[in-house]
Amino acid sequence: MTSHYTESKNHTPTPRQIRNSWVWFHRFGSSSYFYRVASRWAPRAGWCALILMVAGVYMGLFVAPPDYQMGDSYRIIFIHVPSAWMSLSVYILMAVSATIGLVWKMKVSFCVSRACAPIGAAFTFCALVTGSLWGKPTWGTYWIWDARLTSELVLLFLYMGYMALDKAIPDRSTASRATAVLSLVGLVNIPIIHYSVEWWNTLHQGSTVFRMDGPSIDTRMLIPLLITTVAMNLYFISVLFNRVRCELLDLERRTQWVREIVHG
Amino acid sequence: MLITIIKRDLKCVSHNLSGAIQPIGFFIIITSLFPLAVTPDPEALQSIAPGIIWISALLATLLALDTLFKEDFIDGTMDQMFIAADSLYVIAFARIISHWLFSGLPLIVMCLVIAMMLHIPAYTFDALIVSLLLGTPTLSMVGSIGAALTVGLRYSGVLLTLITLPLYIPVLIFGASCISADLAGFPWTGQAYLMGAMLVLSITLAPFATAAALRINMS
Amino acid sequence: MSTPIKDTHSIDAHTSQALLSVENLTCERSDAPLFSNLSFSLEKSQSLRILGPNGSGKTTLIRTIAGIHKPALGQIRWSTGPGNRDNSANKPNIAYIGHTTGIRGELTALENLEFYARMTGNLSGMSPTECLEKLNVAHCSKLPCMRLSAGQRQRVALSRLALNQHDLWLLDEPVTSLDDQGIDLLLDLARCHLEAGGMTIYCSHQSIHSGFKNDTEIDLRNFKGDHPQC
Repeated sequence: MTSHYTESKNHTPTPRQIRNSWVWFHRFGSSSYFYRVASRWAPRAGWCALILMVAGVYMGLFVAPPDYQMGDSYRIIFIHVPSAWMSLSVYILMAVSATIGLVWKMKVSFCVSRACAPIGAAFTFCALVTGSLWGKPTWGTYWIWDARLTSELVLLFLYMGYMALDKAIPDRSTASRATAVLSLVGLVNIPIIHYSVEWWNTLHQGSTVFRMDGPSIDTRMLIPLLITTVAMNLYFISVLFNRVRCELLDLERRTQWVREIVHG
Repeated sequence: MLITIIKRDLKCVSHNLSGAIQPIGFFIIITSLFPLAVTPDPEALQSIAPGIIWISALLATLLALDTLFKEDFIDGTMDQMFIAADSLYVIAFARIISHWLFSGLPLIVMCLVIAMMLHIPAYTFDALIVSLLLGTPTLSMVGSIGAALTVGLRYSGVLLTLITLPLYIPVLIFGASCISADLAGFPWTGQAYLMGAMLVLSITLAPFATAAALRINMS
Repeated sequence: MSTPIKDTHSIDAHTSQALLSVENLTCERSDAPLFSNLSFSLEKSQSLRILGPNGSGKTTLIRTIAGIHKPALGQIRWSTGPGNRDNSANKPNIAYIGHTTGIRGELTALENLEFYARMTGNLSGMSPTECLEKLNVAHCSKLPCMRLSAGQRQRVALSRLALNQHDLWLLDEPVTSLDDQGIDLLLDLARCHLEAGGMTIYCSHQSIHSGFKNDTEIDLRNFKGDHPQC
């Protein structure tokens, strides 16, 4: 770390912490270091995401064979399934980084958590929209109270609650810690909600709803699915890093390293 | 300490009875709106009654949540209690118990009347009462987290709803299904056990989260 | 205190007898430092006046010492005597009077005080009614506090001070909305408190320091952080 970066005192590793070989952890906790890493990797991840997405969508639309039951309409899964996966894993990342922030008082990790929320909500929304679009040819209706769609909807509510609380609390550090507690509570609740919704669904509908999971998927379908999943992850990383960069610049606007970046 | 705070809350309520019965009034009004909006037909009402009762109970609990910590927070009593008790956990727990005593418990008594108005047969009253007995404390516990998170905000009603209601979904599902199962003549002990499990889990974890949230908003 | 306090701002030289020592305290509000590297110590029967313009962190400092606000850096140490470093066993008995009274409107003055007597203990030997008499508000002890005037409510809040023999009083603008008689009664109470060996930390824009045995003052302007607020 170069000397002209004035660090927030929480983030400078003390000798004891270095001995514990947690240096990397504390280095990532340093705002300026994270900012530089994020600036370097955000565009790279973004370009990789674009290339893989184009390739994945091309393979999904033109290479993968049509489904014997649903014809071509199933092809939306190349967007739908990765978004649904992302929506959940982003929430987990959000809660985990918020916990790290609470425990180790790291501002960077609060920033990551905060930046996750709108992206995760967007993935959830995307999964819901593609799910209901898929539902029209499959079930004949745009919305069906399927367990997965319902869980996804609740997840969207959780994201909305998180963002609303974040916006409502004027003090920045209070907001980060309050939303951290909320995301943890949400994390504990997600499995409970998920299983209760699943149970409710089987009670009311029976599990006759078509399911795409299981190992029986054709390899030519699986490969584009995996490619778009990787692309979505990279896209997420890219957007996340850019959002965290903005957050950091705003949060650390009084420090030397931000002034140097802003004023050249 | 716990008892002292609950006793004080009892006194507050006895001085301000009209405020304390508002959630109950709300509960009665909401439940009586459903027959007006949907249908007064006894059979149809019976089939949706578990949902009506549970949604109304949810909303009535939510109504009382807004002031759970806010009054103490605004008038500085929270600071004083914190200095005296040195533990927000105790304060949070005491306030949650008070909340349940003044919103959950009267609701359970009231729901028998409502159940008759919604044509729920008397043989399901045991499922009704057990589900509410297990469910409403869970609602108070889980809701207290939202109340503590929004305690520093002046207008937090809608936000509190947005935060809390998604967390209430499991209780709603199992609570309503407890009654529906009994109505349909199925065993409902499974749902009751699950609700008991959720109650235990919420008693174990929620006060910690609530105390943490209060601490965050105080400093 | 057995640990030496290394700082340049120490007001008192007799740190060996200090009951309360604040070491290199830095407090933030909205991530902007209010004051930094503040150190002082306080002995028995001493009072400390905090000076500073609005927004300089007087309330935050008082709330930090009360344990409500968490400092960004630094420590607040208590010791009951020389060599005793175990703070947890002897929790200091603190009375805090803040901007908010801590008085519930629905309850009567007496009920409010009885509640605090049960919460904090009632070790001064004065019953809640006697405490209210100290501030001359015993005549409205049966009224709900929301029907009292602001000054009367403040008096009810202040009568909490008489419930216990506190180690430390933290008074944040205690005489706001008090009349002259109320101020005199508070100062009488404060005199007894200091004579009994208690400490006081207070801030006030009115000049009431004549009543306190005004030992020390700190001006928060001298401890301003490196970064300006705006």
